[in-house]
Parts: sequence; structure tokens; C-alpha cells
Amino acid sequence: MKRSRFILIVLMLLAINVISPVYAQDDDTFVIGNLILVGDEGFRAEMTELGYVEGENVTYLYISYENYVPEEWQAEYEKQVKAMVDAGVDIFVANSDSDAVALKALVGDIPIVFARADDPVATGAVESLVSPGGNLTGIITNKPHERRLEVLTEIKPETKKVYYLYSAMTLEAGVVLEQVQTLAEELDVEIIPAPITTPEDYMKIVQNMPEDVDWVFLTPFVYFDEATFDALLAITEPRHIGITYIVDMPMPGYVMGYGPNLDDTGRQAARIIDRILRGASPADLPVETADNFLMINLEAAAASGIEIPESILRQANTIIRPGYFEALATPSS
Amino acid sequence: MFNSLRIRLTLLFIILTIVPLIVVGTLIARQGSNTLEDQSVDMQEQLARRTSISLGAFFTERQNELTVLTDVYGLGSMAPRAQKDILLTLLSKQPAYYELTLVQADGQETIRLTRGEVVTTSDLTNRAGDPLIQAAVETAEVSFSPVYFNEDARERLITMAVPIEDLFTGLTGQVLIAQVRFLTVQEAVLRNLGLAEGEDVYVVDNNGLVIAHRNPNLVLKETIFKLPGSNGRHVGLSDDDVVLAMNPIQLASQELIVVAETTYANATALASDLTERTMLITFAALLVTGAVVIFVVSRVVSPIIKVSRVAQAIQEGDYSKRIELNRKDEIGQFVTVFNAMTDQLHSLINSLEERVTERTREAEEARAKAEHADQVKSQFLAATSHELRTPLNAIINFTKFVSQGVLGPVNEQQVEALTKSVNSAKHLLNLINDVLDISKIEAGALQLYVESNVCLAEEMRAACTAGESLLEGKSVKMRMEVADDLPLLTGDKQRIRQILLNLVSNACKFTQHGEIIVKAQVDGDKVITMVKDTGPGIAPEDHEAIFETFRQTETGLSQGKGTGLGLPISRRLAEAHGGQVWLESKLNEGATFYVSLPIKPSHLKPTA
Repeated sequence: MKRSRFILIVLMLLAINVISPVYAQDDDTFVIGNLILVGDEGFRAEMTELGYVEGENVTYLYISYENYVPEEWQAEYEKQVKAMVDAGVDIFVANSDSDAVALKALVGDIPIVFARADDPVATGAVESLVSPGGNLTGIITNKPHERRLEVLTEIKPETKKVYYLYSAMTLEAGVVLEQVQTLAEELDVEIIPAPITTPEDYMKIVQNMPEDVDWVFLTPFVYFDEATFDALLAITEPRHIGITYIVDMPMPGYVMGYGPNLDDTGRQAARIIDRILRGASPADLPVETADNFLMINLEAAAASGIEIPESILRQANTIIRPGYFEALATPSS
Repeated sequence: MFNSLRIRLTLLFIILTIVPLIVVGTLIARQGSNTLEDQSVDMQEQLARRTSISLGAFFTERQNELTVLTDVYGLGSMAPRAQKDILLTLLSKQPAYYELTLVQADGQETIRLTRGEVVTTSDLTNRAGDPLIQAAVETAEVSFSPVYFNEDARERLITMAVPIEDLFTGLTGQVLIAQVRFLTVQEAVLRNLGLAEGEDVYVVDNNGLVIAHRNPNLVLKETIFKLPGSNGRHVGLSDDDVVLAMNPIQLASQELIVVAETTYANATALASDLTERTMLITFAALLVTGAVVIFVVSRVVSPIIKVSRVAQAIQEGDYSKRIELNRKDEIGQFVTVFNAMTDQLHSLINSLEERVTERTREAEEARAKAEHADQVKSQFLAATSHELRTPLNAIINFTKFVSQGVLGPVNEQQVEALTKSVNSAKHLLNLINDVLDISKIEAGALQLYVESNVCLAEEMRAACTAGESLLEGKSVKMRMEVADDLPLLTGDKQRIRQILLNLVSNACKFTQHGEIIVKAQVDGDKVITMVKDTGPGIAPEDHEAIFETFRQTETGLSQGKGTGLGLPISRRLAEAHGGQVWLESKLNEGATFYVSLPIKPSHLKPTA
């Protein structure tokens, strides 16, 4: 009798356990090495929309710039990347194809998605745009530099000389320069190339800028520090020279920007990462094309005495009007 | 295993409970699955239709956009610079276009603006042979090209040709050509469908080529989907088992197909959930029922097993076992009655055993008394016979002496009287000898003097010789037949002769005429001796009685011959040798007595 009662109790408990299933929690957490400098907001927002919630099923690891020392940065960068790999990074997202190629040398076969590239085949990031072939894939711009040059001539039809600043250290710089120069010839515009190799070159380039240029044409990987940019503005504004940049992001002093929206490319990168995390191979994921957007900064244009035609303003996706940056800088009550 | 009542009852109850549950659950799950599959097809059809409407609206919107430019703003009559500006603005504001081109009626491009390459004047071409432009010019209707892949854009496009009417001539003066990006179809239509995991909606052309999909890679990879013939359950784009529906959309002469699919697992998730829950409930019910059944069966069967064990113990003679069960129900009553019955049985058997013991003891005592009495009787008879025989021998001998004149002369009359005295004394002596023998036999004191070379023929001859004296004055012939191969017997020669003498003398006494045949022959491992006479015979009812001591037939009693001990002694002596004595006879038909004696009886050893 005692034994049968014991069996009864055990089976009842088992039955209760059966009809009250405990569903296993999905404890898969992805680790993403997030090396995007600009556009991270859009990237993370899209990742969240795709179901990757930070702290729940995704962890982002970042490069720390707290102790940035230019001379020691390469070693520090490699050290931090290695720490990320040791921490079990599943996938990296990089700023550009050049960054991705450099990163590949450090991380091996871990998938890398680049958020921007002008010519990833030329940089060796991918074998082809349709079939990347390796562990790198990402987003290519849609020839923004040529159209940017054309827009400059539409803003200032008298444009004859463009001061073309580019990073000589990047792999695709020569290709892009060649494309721009080809169009410039058709538009009867002279491109004055200004290669940058070291940080010290920036100030020299600014100081050596020819007086009769109509535009300062910035290209990828050309980053001014505040002092140098102020020096640049001190020269360009009195001479009615406009500065143009590669993205549509509003920035003080930049008259025009044309290129991909970095939030959008961040979102695109997130969607590619989602496919990879769901099992797709980067080798089979074609490089996607980013749309271009036009930004016109009327405040900067006014400072440089440049009049923007209404037809261009109609084409602009973003128009920065005077007072915009002051409003941003003023804390809301 | 299935001989166990517990297991059989348990299995029976579980089967009766669970099988119907499983059957009902399976039927419900299957019915639910079929219904859900049908509903899912309906839902996918609605989704495909809705997407087609959105897709149609997307292209209608593009058509309206372009028509507003041409008809409202008068694109065709604007200055070239204004045309370019307005088209650039459209290209900038509306991502759906990859390229906008203004073409004269003769096919000459005047403006071409792309989202990628910058097109200069030198790049402009003449597209006079373009059938799309020709169709727009000829029909004055918006026409669409097939969907195609553009290498520069690296995406799939469809070209719309919008004719621009020359208001003065009424003819098509120019054509606005717009390349529409299917990538934006994906952005504008497919991404806003709010699809769940496992659901998919995409657009294919007539050949199944995927031209718009949430995953642009499938478009870039030129994925082909083999279109099924009907809506329903098929293999989906990702080779999954899906429920899909297709809905065509017509763009001028071009037909596109919107495919909406959801995985079969998704479509029947509710049924799967129902099945899973049914299985869980069934399993839980199995466990609960199993537990209850085991409990109930145990409650029923355990007392039966206990009763069985106690009954077995009783069968083996152990009446001390009782069933311990404290229950008030029918089984408790049964056990109580069984225990009471066992108590009664135990008491009864104890009583019987006591009675049997008592009776056995009494019987033993009676038997001992009887044996003692018999022994005393035998001893008495033996002693008495001995005491009688001694003086009787003296009487016989001295009477013989007297009759023979040893003690003085006797006359003939005296001799006759003395001779009668001697005969009577001899008769008495024989009687005493017989009594002595039967007494020894019954007292178990008979001892055989065993020899291994007893010649039966010789003993038969001696018996016949002795019997012939009894035949004086009778017309009876005695004949002896002995087989040549008669073997020597092992036995007591005197006792064998005594048997034969008894039988032969009986035959001689009771046979008045006719013949007496004494015959012996071998029969297997024994020798059978037959004494056949033509006397008065013996009634069948007396065949056994004559072998009882002191019992005689009517004939024997009427003739006053014999003591009634000869045949019992003969039978006992034959039996002492391992043989038998029997007869065949009918009244007035003579009698035949048989004696069988084993040639070499195994239980007799020659006396040393």
C-alpha cells in the first residue's frame, strides 16, 4: 500500500510537471565588435528593430579612444581588437572597406561588414560586388563624388578650380580621383589634388591652398581637427570658397555635402549583419549600394558669400538654415 | 508477465482510458491542422492581394508623379535648364527612380539623369529603335518594359515610358522615360507589411525570377522560384515547406506575380500547439490514470494476492497464517470472512487430527492386544499340541505293542479294538500336527528347511503311494504324469511333500470311483502341479472358504473326513515358497487343485 501511494505521488508530480512545461530561454547572445565611428545610432536602432536588444541577446564592444596617442595608436588599436576577438566577437562592423581589410589581418575569418566603400574590389575587400567570396561584405556608395562635383558646378557655374584633398594612405583614393578628374575635364573644371599622408600635412595643405580655387573638395578619411579646420575656414570664407564633404551630415562650415546618409548605411549594415547572424555566409552576400543624399548648408554658404540656386535647394534632401547649429548648441529648457 | 492480474487490469484500464483520449486528440489536431491550412491559404491570398494592390498603387503613384510633371508643369515645353532642374529635383526627392530621361519623339535623348554616373552631353544617345519609346509614341499611353537587371545600379529596374503630348499637334512630342527601382518597391511595400518570422512576400516575373524581396541578396543573385500551379502547400522560396498564395499584377502588358508564403509550421502553429498540448495532456492523463489505476488495482489485487498466499500456506499445512487487512469495504468483509473460515477450518482439522490420533492409538492398542492374543493362542496351541502329541505317541506305540502281542497274547477281537484305537490316535495325532503347523504359520514361527535339489517327481510319487492306501476298496485309479524336463526345485522338501500329500489324500478321500490324475509341468519359471479327481466337486461359493482354517464343505462335513486345516496349511506353505494354491471345480464334476511353485524363489536361500 505504501509503495503504491508513493508511486501515485511521484506520477502525479510528474504529470503536473508535464502539463506545466518550462520553456527554455534562448540564451544565444551575439557579440558584435562595433567599429563604426559615425552612423552607429542608425546601426543600433536597426539592430534593435531586427530583434537584437543590447543586454539581452547582443553585446557591442567598442574601440576606446580615451588614451588616444597618435604615435602609439596602431599598437593600441590592434591590442583592443585582439581583446575583442578573445572576448568572442561573432562579427565586426567597420567604417569602410579599407578599415575592414586592415581588420581582417587581425581577426582572420571572423565576418566583417563595412558600412561604406567607394570601390571595395579595388581595395581587395571583396572579389566581386555580387559574390564577395571571403568573410567581408558591406555597402558601396553610388559614385557620389562625380555627382558632387557636378552639383558644385550647378551651385557656382563659374567653378574652374577645385582643391581636392584626399588621404594618400587609402587604397581606393587613386581610383576615385581618376573618376572625378575624368568628369572634371568634361565639365571644364581643374582638379588640384592635395594628398595627405600625415596629420601634419593638414595644416600645410591649408596654408598652401591656391588663392583662385572655387571649392575645397574633401574625400573619405580626411578629418580636420578643430584648429586646422578653423584655419581652413579663415582662408576659405573671405575668398568665397565653399567646402564640400562626402556625406549629407550637417556640419558647421561645410557648404555642401553629398553622399550616403550614414544612419541609413548603418541600418543597411545592420540588415546584412542580421542575415549573417542567421546563418548566411558573407561570401554569398552581395555588396549593397547606398543611396546618395544632398545637404546644403545655407549658413556656411552665406558665410562664404555663396548663393545657392533655388533649383539646387529643391534637390537638397537636407537644408541647414542660419541658426541651426546655435539652436543645437543651446540646451532646451 | 501477462498472467499477473495486476498487470492485466492495469493495462486494460490504461488502454481503455488513454486510447480514446489519443484518438480524440489526434482527430481534433488533424481537423484543426486542415482547417488552419485552409485559413492560412486564405490569409496568404489576402496578403498577396493586398501587396499587389500596394504594388499597383506604387506604380500608379509613379505614373501620376510623372504625369503631373508632363501635364501639369508642362515639362515638355520648359527650357532645357528648367527641365534638368525639375528632373534632378524629382530624382533627388524620389528614391524610386534610378534614371530619368527626356527623349524626343524621334528617339534623341535631350536629358539623362542617373542616381549613379554623371551623364554629360556627350553621353546622350539616340534611342529611335527602342520599342518602349515607339510604343509610347504610337499609343500615347504609358508603357512598361520587362523587369531587367541594371549593371550600373546593380539592381532590378522596370522602365516606364510616359508620352508627352504636343498640345498644338496632339501628337506625342516627347517621352519621359523613368527607370523605377524595385529596391524601393521592397522598401515602400514589402518592408511595411509587418511580416512575422516564417512569413515572406516577394515579387517574381513570369519566369519566377525574384525581382523584389526583403532580402536584396536574393534579387542580386538572380534567384529563380519555380512557380507552382496553384495556391496551397508547396516548397517555398527557401525550400521550406510553406503555404503560399500568388496574385498577379498587370503593369501595361507586363505581368508580375506577388507571392505570399508562410511556413507550414507557422500556418499550423495553432494545430501543432494543440497537438503538443493534447500530447502533454494525454501523457499527463496517462501518468495520472496510471497512478490511479495502479493504486486502485493494487487496492483490489493486493488482498487477492494476500488471500492467495494464505490459501497456499493452508494448502501446505500451515494454518497459522492470516490476512492482515484493515478495511471496511467488501474486500475487508471478504478477508474477515476468509480469516474466520480459516479459523474454523483450523479448528476442524485440529479436532479431526485429535480424533484420528485417538482412533489410531486405540487401533494400535487393539492390534497389539489381538497380536498378543493370537500369539498367546499360538503358543498355547503349540504347547498344547506338543503336550498332547507326546502322550499320544506313547499311546499309539504302546497300543501297537499290545496289539502286536509284544506284551502278551491278544485275541483277534482285541487286535481289532486296539487297531481302531491306534487309528483314532493317529487321526488325533494328525489333527494335532495340523493344528501345530497352522499355529506356527499364523504365529510367524514357521521355518523352512530349504534345499536346492528338491525332486518334485519323487515327492509326487511319495504322495501318490501314501494316497493309494486310502483307495482300497474303491474303483478309483490313480495316475501320475510327470514331464521329462521337470527341474529340481529350491524349497523345503518336507513341506512340498506335505502340500502334495494333502491334495492327493483329499482327492483319494472324496473320490469314490473314477480316477485321480497327478500331473506336473514347467510353466516359465515355475512348476505347476495338478491333482485332478472325479469326486463330488466343490461349489464355486466354497472355493475360497475351503482355504479358511477349520472350514469344510458340506461334503467334507457329511463324510466326517479331514480336519479343515489341510488346504489352509497347503496354501500357506505354497505361499511361503512364493507359490499359490487354487482350484477349478463345479459341484458333481470333480475338482482340480493346482499348486504353483517357483523353480528358484529369490527370497529363499538354502538352509546351511
